Amino acid sequence: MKFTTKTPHVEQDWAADFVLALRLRDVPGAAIGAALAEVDAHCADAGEGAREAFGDPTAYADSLEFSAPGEQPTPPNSRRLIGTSLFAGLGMLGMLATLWGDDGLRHDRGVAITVGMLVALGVLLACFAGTILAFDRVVPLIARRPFATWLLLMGFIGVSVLCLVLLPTQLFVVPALPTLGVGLGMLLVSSLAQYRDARTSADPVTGPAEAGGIGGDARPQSARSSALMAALLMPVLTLLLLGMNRLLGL
Amino acid sequence: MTTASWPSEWLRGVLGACVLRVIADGPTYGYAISAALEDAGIGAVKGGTLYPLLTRFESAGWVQIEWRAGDGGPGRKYYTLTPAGQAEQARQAREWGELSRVTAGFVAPAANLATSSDQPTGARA
Repeated sequence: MKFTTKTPHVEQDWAADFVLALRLRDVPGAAIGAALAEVDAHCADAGEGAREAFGDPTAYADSLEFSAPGEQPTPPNSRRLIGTSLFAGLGMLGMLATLWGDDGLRHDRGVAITVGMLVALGVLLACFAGTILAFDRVVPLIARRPFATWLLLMGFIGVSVLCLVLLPTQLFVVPALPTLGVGLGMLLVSSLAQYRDARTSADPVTGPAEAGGIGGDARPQSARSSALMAALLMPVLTLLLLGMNRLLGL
Repeated sequence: MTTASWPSEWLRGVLGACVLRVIADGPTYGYAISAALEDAGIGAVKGGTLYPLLTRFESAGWVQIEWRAGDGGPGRKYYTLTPAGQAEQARQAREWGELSRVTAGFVAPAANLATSSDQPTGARA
């Protein structure tokens, strides 16, 4: 997790783990900034590093109570995150349908639905269902183990490709133009939902004004730019793949 | 006073009353509280122990907080006792005084207890 801290007396990796632990508890950004500013002030006075004075950042974060007005965690954040994941999944399906529809149109044929496609779709849905059922355990794992998450994602893509290659039996054919239309529609709905979600849920880490903003993110990403990035990810990826297909003559 | 190194389980029990006592003297901040505890011979209290306790006081409504700009350093979070905190501080001070009096009498060397050794154990408590 990238966090550019304004806490000169706190080790950067300690601050990043501390912020992550509080984010996972849905603590508001201003309360996180205030807690971090207090750690920084203590370290400055004591002449100690945060790890020496406060120990493990996650254990310390878990030991803090937040109950003052404006500091309370904001459930049910999990439900919002599940919605975000579903719309991300919709975007992925939209991308596939768009690619298949485009391929059918260019070669003047329908989109052949194979056993492999349906199995890959089943694996995708099973992964989503598993993620949603074990959401509270999966999200911290994703946040704390980015490499393992990347490996799992690559594994999933590998399994999907294997399904498509090893199970080519054609079940039925659907017309290309409606497939393309449905794919573009799914991409549009997914992007709009992701944009709206990222705009409304932006909660940057900000330090107390009296402490000169110490504890806040020094380079906060604007809500607008992070929302745009979330919304444009799948459409841009789709465009890249469409371009690549044309370049390679597939 | 020299800094003592009391068993941590003793400190855990008495720390809340001691921190409330420090704040009772007027608005103060985390590091100053830990320095006051050390000066009083209670021992060095790490930030990882002190600040979670302060957040519990805040939740209980015993302290109110105010951020003040630092004088050449980082800003600080000051704690002041609320009326509920003052009442809690008085209650804890009274009860700890009573407990320490009873405990001191109870754990006194055997020679001091010899005079009451013919009494049943229950009568001592």
